[in-house]
Amino acid sequence: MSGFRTVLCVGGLVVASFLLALSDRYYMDVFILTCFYGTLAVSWNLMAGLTGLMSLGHALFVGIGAYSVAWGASAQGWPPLVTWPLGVAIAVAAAAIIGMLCFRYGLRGYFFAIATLAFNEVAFFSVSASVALGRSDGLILPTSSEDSLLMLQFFDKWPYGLIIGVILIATLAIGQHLLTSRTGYYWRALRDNEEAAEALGVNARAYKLRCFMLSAGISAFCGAFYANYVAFVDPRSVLGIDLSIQMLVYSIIGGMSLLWGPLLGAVLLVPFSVMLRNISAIQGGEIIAYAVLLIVLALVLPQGIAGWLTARWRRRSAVSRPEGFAAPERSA
Amino acid sequence: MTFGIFLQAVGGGLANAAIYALIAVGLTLVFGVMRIINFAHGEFLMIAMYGGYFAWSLLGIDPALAILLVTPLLALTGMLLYSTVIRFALKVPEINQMAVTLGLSLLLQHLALVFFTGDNMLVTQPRATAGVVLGPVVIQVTHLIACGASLLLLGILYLVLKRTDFGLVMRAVAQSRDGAALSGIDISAVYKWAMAVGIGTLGVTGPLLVSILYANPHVGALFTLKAFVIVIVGGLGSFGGVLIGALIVGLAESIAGAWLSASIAAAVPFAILILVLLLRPEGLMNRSLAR
Amino acid sequence: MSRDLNRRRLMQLAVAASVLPATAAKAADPLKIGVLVPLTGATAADGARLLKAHELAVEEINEAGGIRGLDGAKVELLVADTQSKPEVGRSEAERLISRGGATVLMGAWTSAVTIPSMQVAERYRTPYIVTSAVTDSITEQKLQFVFRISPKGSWAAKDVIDFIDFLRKKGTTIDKVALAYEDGPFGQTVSKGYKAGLPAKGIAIVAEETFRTGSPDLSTQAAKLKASAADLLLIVSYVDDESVLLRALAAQQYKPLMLGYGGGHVHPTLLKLGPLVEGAFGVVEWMEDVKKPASEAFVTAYKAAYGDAPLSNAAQAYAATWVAALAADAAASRDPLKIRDALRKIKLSSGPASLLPNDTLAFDENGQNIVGNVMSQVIDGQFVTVWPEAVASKPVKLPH
Repeated sequence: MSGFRTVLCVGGLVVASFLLALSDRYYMDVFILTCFYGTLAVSWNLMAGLTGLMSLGHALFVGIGAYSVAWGASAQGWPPLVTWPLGVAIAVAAAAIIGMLCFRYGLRGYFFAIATLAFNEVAFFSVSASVALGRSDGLILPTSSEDSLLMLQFFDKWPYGLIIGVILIATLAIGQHLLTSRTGYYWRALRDNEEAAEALGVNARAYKLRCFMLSAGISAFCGAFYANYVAFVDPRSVLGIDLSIQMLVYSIIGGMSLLWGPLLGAVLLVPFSVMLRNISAIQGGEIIAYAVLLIVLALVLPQGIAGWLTARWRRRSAVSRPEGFAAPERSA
Repeated sequence: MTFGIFLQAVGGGLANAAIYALIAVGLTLVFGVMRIINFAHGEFLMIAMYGGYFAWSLLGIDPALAILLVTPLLALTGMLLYSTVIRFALKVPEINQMAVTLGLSLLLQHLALVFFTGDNMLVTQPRATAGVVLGPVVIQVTHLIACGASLLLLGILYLVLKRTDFGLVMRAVAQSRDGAALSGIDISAVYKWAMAVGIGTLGVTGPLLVSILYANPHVGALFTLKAFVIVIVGGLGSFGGVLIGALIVGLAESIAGAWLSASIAAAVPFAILILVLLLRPEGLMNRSLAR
Repeated sequence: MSRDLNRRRLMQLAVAASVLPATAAKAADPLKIGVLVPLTGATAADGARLLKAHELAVEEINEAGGIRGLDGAKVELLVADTQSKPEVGRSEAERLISRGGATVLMGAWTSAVTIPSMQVAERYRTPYIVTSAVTDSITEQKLQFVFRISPKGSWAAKDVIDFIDFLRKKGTTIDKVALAYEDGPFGQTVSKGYKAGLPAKGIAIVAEETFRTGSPDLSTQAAKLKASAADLLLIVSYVDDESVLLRALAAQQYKPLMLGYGGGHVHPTLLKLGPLVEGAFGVVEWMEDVKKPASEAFVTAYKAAYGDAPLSNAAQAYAATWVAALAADAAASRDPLKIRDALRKIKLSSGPASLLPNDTLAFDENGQNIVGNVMSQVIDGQFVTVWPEAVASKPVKLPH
């Protein structure tokens, strides 16, 4: 299947980048950040671009993963083998509960997006008030000066790069598999026209829930990775709305109708912002450039760069534009 | 919490509600007419606040009077925004619209940082410390003025929307764009005016707010989120909804703040939002949307 | 370290340089000090001030002939913008060490950004001098390469309580205290210290009000504080909220004795509130009128270079930069390990780095500098240091 070949190509590029980055710690750092945000954006887009469910509060699941690991390590001394599955399990359960509540009451479009934002903010403030979770000071993960495979502590960067690279490739593989299966077919049907899909017998609630839980689980995985990599978590860095917005931005710029579109967005923007950071003369100059780029691209290339490239490459239009949440009387 | 404190919380909450309502009404108006949610709404409030501050520090004008200067400026900015950015944004999918206004929000915050630096700009006036005593409740004079002006403007807006042709045309477009177009209404002109009014209202709140708070590049972001909550709770596109939503948020925030720790109190409006979304997502004032 | 000696040495070097270019180049290799500051983002205003202080110190060091122990090598400041974000701080620390070749790092203003960046330095076995962050746990992790110039956040409470004792001995009644703090990292850390220490001294905490930073309306909190009838109000907040709170209190006609935490927030903006702040106290790591020769010299130099007066965070950044240079000098090496060892042994009671209010700048076995805070009071619209009496510039002005 041509989709599968594309994913294989992308996977190959990830491996190639990893090998290139081995030469320099700084490049490896950029590689790790790009894979991290890329995986997050791809998992976010599984919901938004491919199932039509836009979540503005996805940082909630990243935070659950990160805090589970941070708390487990600092308060209990548990290794990642215990805390990572714990974080993912809690995130998936949270998604199940939130999803069941929202879908049962028929929340869609903007309303679902804002509901997820509200849950995220509630979590943000609750953690800021919780003494066990370090309140606003956050939690520092205990680090030793020795390398430890069990505790995922390494002086070198490449083991971290390897881990996040594998997570990214696995996410793409799972995503591709699901998309070409009946589940993916139903997801796209729900995205394009939920009523019609339901009329044809698709169990909307069950499939939307499945998507939500998968996406949450992957995000929690990334959160867990973040905790072990940075060894410090606080509400602002893992539960803040900035993180959710970043996922949105990479997906839009990269292209929401393709599985790997958001990864392209991350690949273009993450190194770009890191590079610009060091050469910009004006304070915040690179953020201004980034914002202008975002506005221009969102207006000029609604299908994202990946969509545009794919359309040109294949000489036919990319998989149908996300209809999103157009109100009835608006013409497409 | 004694009864006196409870009354104080209610009084403070009501005063805040009026101010929040005026901030949120622009957001809901733009959505009602154009079906776009402006994530940069708070940044225009920030610009209005700087406007009020500079009118005071450079020209010596009382911020309350500076409204007469700042409001037309903001209205013009709204029109400019439409012609340069929003006009094109209306043609792309809604998620892209979100990206555009989010990008705008980031851009404005950092431009303000470059031009005005990150320091807080404070307006100092004698009346900033005066309070009006109503039994056990003390309302600061600056809050009272802001509250009064907000109510006045909300009243004017209501009359304009319900009684004038201008308002009629806007409501027509809000109800059905194609229908209005078929009736010969110039849609893009209406859009331009909707943005002018939507952003222009911030020109009233800004100078009033800068007497209470201070101006800095990030001060708008907090209000954008609050406006969101109000507008959704009350019902997107509904004027009455803004009043109800602002009342609920203002009071809930104030009473929770008197009772619980500040972080928990900050979560309360979002908890209310979740409840409303689960039980009545179209908002409290909107008629059930056919889905 | 006499200036003439340095100049002569430099002349010798210049002559040698013209004859033996290779050797001279090696001796003149600068000492690279990496500095992490927030130049953009929420805390950009403070970042700009910190950078100015770092730059002033470097200028002074280089003008005095560079680092004598390294044959007059100049100090080169490598600046990185943390954007007020932890992950950026972390990757910039990486960049400064692995690509920039920094042998010492310092920074990074807030605790949230300081912690990840100091952990990077620890992994790289590079000394990191914390200039301003106050979270206690920073020097409680048994790290081997982290040093802190600034005091622990919980010590503020200790100094405040000592100051309350001082006031009581002077005849002021302080039996009931009210707390008002912002419910974030700053307020929570410091108020924890107050809540632990005050009851032990027989002082009752009669009210505890919290608020989120940036709130436009603190009238309910003000009403509750007034209702508590406390003798002293302890405020922990940023200068932004301070103005909102003080106005709300004034509207309530409640003007108790007040002590608001300072830090980099004993800020000229506060003085604009005029009579509202008159007589109010602040607890702060350093004030520009602290009576110490090094402090006075610093203030003069800073004003001459930049026009405005330095705040406490500038003094800390300045001290840290000098400490790094002096450690490299003592170690006579650019090796981070040797510089770390020199930092462990350093004891400064005079010289430019001694401008902080303690007698000797030295790091204990956890890398912590044992330094206290001073109390400032607004007298006649100016910030004046009033305690400890050893460094006070004027006596404390008591009510009635």
